[in-house]
Order: sequence, then C-alpha cells, then structure tokens
Amino acid sequence: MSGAPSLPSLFQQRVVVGVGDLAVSNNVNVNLSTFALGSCVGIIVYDKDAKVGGLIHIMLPDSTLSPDKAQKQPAMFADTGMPIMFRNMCGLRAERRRMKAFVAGGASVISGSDMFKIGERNIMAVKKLICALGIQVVRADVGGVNNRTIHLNVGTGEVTLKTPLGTSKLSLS
Amino acid sequence: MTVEELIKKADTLPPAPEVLPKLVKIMKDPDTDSRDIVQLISTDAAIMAGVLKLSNSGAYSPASPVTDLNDAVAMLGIKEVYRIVNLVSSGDFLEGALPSMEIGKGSLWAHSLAVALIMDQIVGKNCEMEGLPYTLGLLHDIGKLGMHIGCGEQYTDIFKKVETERLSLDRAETETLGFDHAIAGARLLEEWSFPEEVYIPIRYQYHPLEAPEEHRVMAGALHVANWGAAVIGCNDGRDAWALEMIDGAFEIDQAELELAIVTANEKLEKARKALNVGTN
Repeated sequence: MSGAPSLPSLFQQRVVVGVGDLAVSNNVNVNLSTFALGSCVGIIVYDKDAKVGGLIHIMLPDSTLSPDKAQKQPAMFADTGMPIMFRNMCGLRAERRRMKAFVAGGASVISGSDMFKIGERNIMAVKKLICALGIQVVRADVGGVNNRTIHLNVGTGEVTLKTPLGTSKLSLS
Repeated sequence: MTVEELIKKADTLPPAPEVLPKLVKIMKDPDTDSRDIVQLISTDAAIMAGVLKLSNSGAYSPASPVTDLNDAVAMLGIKEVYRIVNLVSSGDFLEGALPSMEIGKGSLWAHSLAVALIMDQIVGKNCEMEGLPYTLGLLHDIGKLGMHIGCGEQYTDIFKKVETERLSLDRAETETLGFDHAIAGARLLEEWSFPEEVYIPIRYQYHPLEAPEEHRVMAGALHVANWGAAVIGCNDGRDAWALEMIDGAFEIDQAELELAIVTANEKLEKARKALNVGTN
C-alpha cells in the first residue's frame, strides 16, 4: 500500500484563522493554519500534556485605536486578542506553565519612517505581552520583507513555517 | 527592452477595455447624470450582466431584485454602479496568477480591491472627480500584468537584487530593465485611452513627490494605500514587503491611516464573500 494515506491523516481537519481572528482546539485531528502574515504577527501556543493549541493572527498592536472595533473583533489587536486566546486555552485545561510559543510575521518595508514599520510595532507588543504572561518562546521568525504562512498540528505540536524562501518545521512538544 | 517594446510585446493581454476609460471620462463631467452611464454600460453586454449580477449579490443585498441598469442606478446610486463597473472591467485583467512574481490566482485582484477601498477611505471625500481614487486603486498594479507577460523571465534576477542589495521592487526593476511596473502600467493605461488623471498618479505611485503638482495627492495616496493593503495581508508575491516608503508622500495621521485600513479590511471581507474575490 505504498503511498496510501495513514489512518489519522484521513481524519485531519484544517481550521483557517483569518486576519484579526483566533482559534483554539484540543482536537488532535485538527491543524490550525493562518496565511499571508505580512506585518501581522501570528502566535502559536501549545500545551503538549493537554494537547491544546491556539493560533492568533493579530493585525495591530493596540486596541486604543478603536475600542468599538476591538469589541467586535478583539483578535485584531495584540492587547485584546492574546488574553482571550490564553483564557480560551485554559478553558480547555491547558496550563500556562506548560505552554510553549512560536511567533512569526512582523515584516516591514525595506525603508521608511516608523509610521510604516508596523511590523516592528506588532512584534514589540507581542513580545511584551508574552513576557508578561511568562510563556516560553521556542522560536521567533520575525521581520524581513517576506510573507509567512504557519500551521500547527494540534495532535503532535508540530509547527510548519512556509515563506517564499522555503519550508521549515519545529516541535512545541 | 524599453517600455514601448514591452507594450508591443504584451500582445497576449486581454483586449483593451472599451467602457472603463469612457466611464472615467464621463465621471469627470460635473453634469453627468445616470442616463449617460446607463447608455454607456448598455453597449457592453458582459459588463451589463456583471453589474446586474453583483447588484443582486450579498455585497449589496437589494430589497427587491435588480433586473435592469436603471434599477441598479436607482437603488445603488451612480457612485456604487461606477464601482461595480470598475470591478467587473478590471476582473478580466487582474484575476489570473502571475507565476514570475509568485502571485497566486485572484491575489492581484484582491490586492487591487484592497488598495481601492483604502483609497476611498483616505482620499475619497476630498476628491473632486467622483470615483477616481477607487479606479486608481483597482488599476495601480496593471503594469505587473504587462511585466509578467513581457519580461517575466527577468524576475529571478530582479528578486535576487531585492534580496542581496535590499532594494525595493520598483528600484530593482528599474536597475534591471530600465523602468518599473508603475511606468509600464501607466503607459498601458495611456495606450488604452484612460485620462491622465488615471495614468499619471499610477506612474508616480512609488515616487509621489516627483509627480506633477496636480497629481501629487493621488500619487501619494496610492503610495500609502499600497502599503495599507499589505498590512491587511493583501500583498501576495515574493518579497511582498520590498517597498520603500517616502516620508511626506501623503499627509495623514498614523491613527487615521490605521483606522482607514481597519475599515477597508471590513469592507474587503464582505466583498470577498460576496464576489468570491481571491485570497492569498
């Protein structure tokens, strides 16, 4: 049966997280994915013991820009979205002390004023929040001028990072 | 290769749009009324069908079905019908993939629509020529299509230059080819009889301060809106962030710009769902 799909792969489901959105899952057959991270930052968090994963795709650092929009779509902003993701993960019995994170995105223009370096501001906001929550960051692939796509296999904790320059994998288990 | 050779070589482009340049010219006239628009659109069955289809889509959700162009104008207004004609007309050009630049099918259209929506937000209210910012957004990258068809094989070298010398894409194109996709696009639009209000801001979108004074605001707005579309994830392609942002290109407060981008993102999501515009 060379080339036949393995049994677990037949049941794999993909949950796509859009811009300004988040998802958490404890379903081991789920892959969480987000595409086209430019200046946006994607954060994947995983608890290997509880087999709980979360992914958020934030667009801007600070919700004070528009409290109305933050209320409607909290995951658009780092400061309103990330606490919700962690809370939802804890609701699935993940524990903060066991969580490991992968951070990607935050591309910025080749040159320009700070106003246009929104990627750098997003990275700074995310790092500050992760640090305050005491989460271990296993790897950060940030900055540069490329878009990124990231996936988390909730069953295994394996993270896949795709850029125009290639694909790499790492484990959050 | 010169830009003129490129325009001649790009003979596999879709046929030049007939209705859109005429529509832009009609919209320049302050005395335009809905009959002028209906009469023009009626000359193109494909565009007419597209307008009716989109008028009845979830993007507009009319209270009762729109069955003819007069209905569409009466229910949606001239401005919205103008936007729909722009979308339908440009879809033919922008929908395909551009493999040489690693831009997927539908992505250039989604990007162009995002730029159009941001243009509406940041400069729409202050523009004397109704609908111009939206048109500029939709057409600003038409030159990429010409470059892909005419000299796509050169992009391996162009991207190498971007990556090794940290050049913006337009600069790397200029160093390799002698011109960039903004110049190619502007020349193509001029060839297609669009008025200068369209092709001159597009020509100067990467160097807005060099634009003739009367087109500087629109060129500057395009410069910033192109970046804004990248912020909402609509800038597909290799080295999508190889942009050089010019200080003072367009006067806008940072928070105002970010809010415009967030609002445009909401509208884009609605449009994508209703129109099935490609995502990256």
